[in-house]
Formats: sequence, C-alpha cells, structure tokens
Amino acid sequence: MKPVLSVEHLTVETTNGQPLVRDISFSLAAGQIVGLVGESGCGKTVTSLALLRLLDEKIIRQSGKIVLEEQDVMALSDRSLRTIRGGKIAFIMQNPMSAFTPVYTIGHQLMETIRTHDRCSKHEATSRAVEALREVNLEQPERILKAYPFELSGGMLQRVMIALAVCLRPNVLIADEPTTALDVYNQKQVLYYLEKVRATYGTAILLISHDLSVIAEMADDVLVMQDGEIVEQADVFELFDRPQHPYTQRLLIQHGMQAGARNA
Amino acid sequence: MSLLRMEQVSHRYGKRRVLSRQAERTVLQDVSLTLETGMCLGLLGKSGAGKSTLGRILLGLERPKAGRVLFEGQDIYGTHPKDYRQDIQVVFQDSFAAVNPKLTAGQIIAEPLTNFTRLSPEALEQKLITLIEQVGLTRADLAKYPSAFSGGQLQRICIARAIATNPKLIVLDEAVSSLDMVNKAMILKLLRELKETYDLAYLFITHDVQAAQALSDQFMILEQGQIVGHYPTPQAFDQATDPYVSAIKDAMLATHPRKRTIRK
Repeated sequence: MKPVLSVEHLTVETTNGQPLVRDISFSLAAGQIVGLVGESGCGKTVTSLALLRLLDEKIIRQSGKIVLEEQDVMALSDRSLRTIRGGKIAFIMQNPMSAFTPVYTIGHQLMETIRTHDRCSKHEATSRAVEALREVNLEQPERILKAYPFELSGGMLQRVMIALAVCLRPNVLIADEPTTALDVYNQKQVLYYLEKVRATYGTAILLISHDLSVIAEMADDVLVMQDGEIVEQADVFELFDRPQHPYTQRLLIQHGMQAGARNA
Repeated sequence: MSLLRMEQVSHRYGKRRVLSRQAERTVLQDVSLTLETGMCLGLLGKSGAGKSTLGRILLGLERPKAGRVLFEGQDIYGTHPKDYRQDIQVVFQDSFAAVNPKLTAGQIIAEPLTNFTRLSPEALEQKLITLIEQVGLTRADLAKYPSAFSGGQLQRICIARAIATNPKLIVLDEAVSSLDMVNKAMILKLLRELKETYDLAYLFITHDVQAAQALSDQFMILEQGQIVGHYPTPQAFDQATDPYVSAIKDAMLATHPRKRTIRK
C-alpha cells in the first residue's frame, strides 16, 4: 500500500550541533496506526513537531525527506505549510492546558480552525463544532462552546482538542500522548474514538505514547525510540512477544511489573 | 492527634462555573478524612469529581464554604499561612504551569528555601545539588530554564521543590500522571523512599489506579463531590466489588496486544 506519509533519514539537531533526532525513517499508510514509544526526553515530541516543520528554524536544523501525499514538506513555503497544518495533518498535543489561548472561548477557537480551512457559514461551523464535541462524548456541547479553556478540566480540554483535530477529517493524525492527561474512564473512550476515526475515515495515526498499554490496545506497528534513535521497529505482536533490542526488553519488563502490581 | 483532619467540608463554586444551569455548583459535599503521619491516602475519582478542589482546600488555597481543616489540631483557615506552608507542600499536575519560565531550575528549587530557612550561599548551593540529584537529575541542570526540560524532567524539579523544606505532608495532585513509565516507576520509588525516611504523609490525588496502588496505604473514591468509598487497606481495595471500584477496573487497558479490546 502506498504510504500517506513517509519519512526518510530525518535528522534534527540544534544549531550548535546537539543531535535530537538521528536519522529516522518510517512510513504511515491510510488506516494504519503506528505507535512511537520511548522515555520522556528521547525525542518523540521533537519528531512530531519536525513532521510539520513547527520547530524554530533559528535554533534547530532539520534534514531528511518528509513526503505527505507526494508533496515534499521540506520544500513547502510557510503559506502552503499553513494549509497542511490542521487540514491534512492534525495534531493532538500532550498538554491541553497550554494548547488553547486563554483569552478566547472554546467555540471561537474551534470555529476559527474550521473556517480557516473550509469555506462555510458561521452557522454551519457552529453545528460542525457541536457535532464534533458530541462525538468525543462531551455533554452539553453548546455550553462548552461558550466556555473559556480555564473553565474546563484537563480531561475535557483534551477531548475538545481531539474534536478539533478530527473535525477537519485529516489524512494524518499525530497524537502526542493523547490520553496522558485523561482519567481512566475517559482514556478508553478517547481511544475508542480514535479507532472509530481510523475505521471510518481511513485516517493514518502516529500515536506517540509512553504507555505500553495504549500501544498494546491500538498500534499495528511500533517504533521504539531511545536518545533520538529508532532502536527497534516491529509489528506490535512481534514486539510484545519477542523484543529484540535490550532497551525494548527493559521497557517491557517495567511494563510487566506494573501489570503484575495491577493484577496482584 | 492526627496530622490532618478534614471535617464535614463542603464547597461550592459561584456562577463563573459553566456547565451548570444553576448559578452555583456544589463541588464538595460533607467530605471528612484523616491523614496520619507517614501515611499515604490515595484519592481516586473521575475528572471533575472535585479531587483537585479538595487538594486546594487542604493546602489552604481555597477557603471551604463549610467545615474545618485541622493541621496538627490547628484550623488552617484560622492561622497565618506561614505557620503551615512549610509543612504542607504540593506537586501539581501540570509542571509547565507550576514553574516560572523566567527562573532557572536552581532558582525554582531555592525559592522555598530562601523563604523559610537561612542558609549561607554555599550551604544553599550544596542543598540544591543534593535535592536535584535526589530526584535523578544532575547539578548541571540547575542552571537550565524550564523550556530546556521535558515534562517528566520538569516534574522532578517540582518534586525537588516540594521536598526542599522537609514538609510533613505533600499533596500530590496527579503528580505522576504525565510521566513515562520509566520515570513514573522511578518517581514512585523516590516518593516511597522519602515517605519512609522522613515519615511523610501524602494525599495522592490520581486517576491512575496502578500508581495509587504502588504508593497508597488507604484509598478513597470521590464521585461528584462525595466520598463514595473508603478502603482502609490495600487488600480491602483489591477485593472490593462495589460499582465504583468495578468501573475503575473495567476502564483499564490491556497489557498485551492479544488481550486488546478496542482494536480487534
């Protein structure tokens, strides 16, 4: 199958030469979920930001090839990048508390995004926003549209962000720790919803998580990252049954200990 | 005398709260709890249940509308914050929001020390090095700014700040929820060691049942502002079959892809 997004030899380093991501390659096909796991600070988030060229080019150098539906992302102008961001590749950030502007209502921010990418009336944008919020199981969506970000809990905000990312039907969804801020009840629902999006619209999802349970539930393939390098890349079943790299083995042992504590 | 007692605490938020038709919304209703020295109470509940509000009341940050909070027999809302601030510390959920981005890690950790103790610059420097190494970072990190750290690393700095004044009680408000499992296991181990060394008490607010089980001696479940379950021992919690505990256990994710339920 032809990949929607392919990344070849992506390298990211600071301008004073400190490497952050070292020569990584992977691809995402339509309807596929690729999991990216690793410790905090290993370069998972930098990778996802590099895919959208969101890193500050004054202090960060990136090289390699990023191809999104036959378009070379590295060669795009700022203007064309803006149409891709949010439209073709959507991003769910790790920290919902700081991802929204505190001075505008949720409704304003949702509708701004919808109307930047799609020509539609305010009325239509509102109904699409309400529909999107309902799909992530938020009660009373009309009220949420009138709320400011600080009036919602972290779990609710994260679901708003998922609604926002998904309402434009992107081909690729980068979910950077999408459930880390959610409680256990909401976590499973959000994962169900991501799966529903994948199954319904054939969205390719890059699922970044440090939680191996999330990866176990969702991924087709898994990339294991350590210090900016992909040390192992395998099918999810293969990875859990026969981890090859010592680092993966260590992660799985820790995961197993936690699972043991859970069942004890 | 108990270290801390909450007696019949009720709290409401005014009409600035959205998502409720009435102008006021009750967030806590007749909550009573007791914390003894060296004990960890795990407080579980959904997002929006009132867990963080309970933590804020206990810290003296939010005067409850009814009820009393006694720290070592003294009503904390009847005394000057300086009398207990050193003894009750907190680690919040969102580490980026909990630190001043214009201060270095060293300055962040030094703040409570300079407020409450008189140390010579050399002794302060030495104390900072001890603290930062205690949480698994290096002395070189003291000179860095928050933006140079990942979420997990920054949370360790917040923990170093919390233990700087040798408190008797620490409120851990989702303190490990955003950490990856390697760091989570490390921080939980560190918190356990600190608890034993200094006879610390914790109020561990979390939705992460595994983390709660790794640290807590007692458990409570908060639902819509009310305590709906109190389990005085870890065994009592494991064996409980009431709907609140079952709901938590149902929401847990699979630990291996073969057991997964979301994607078949």
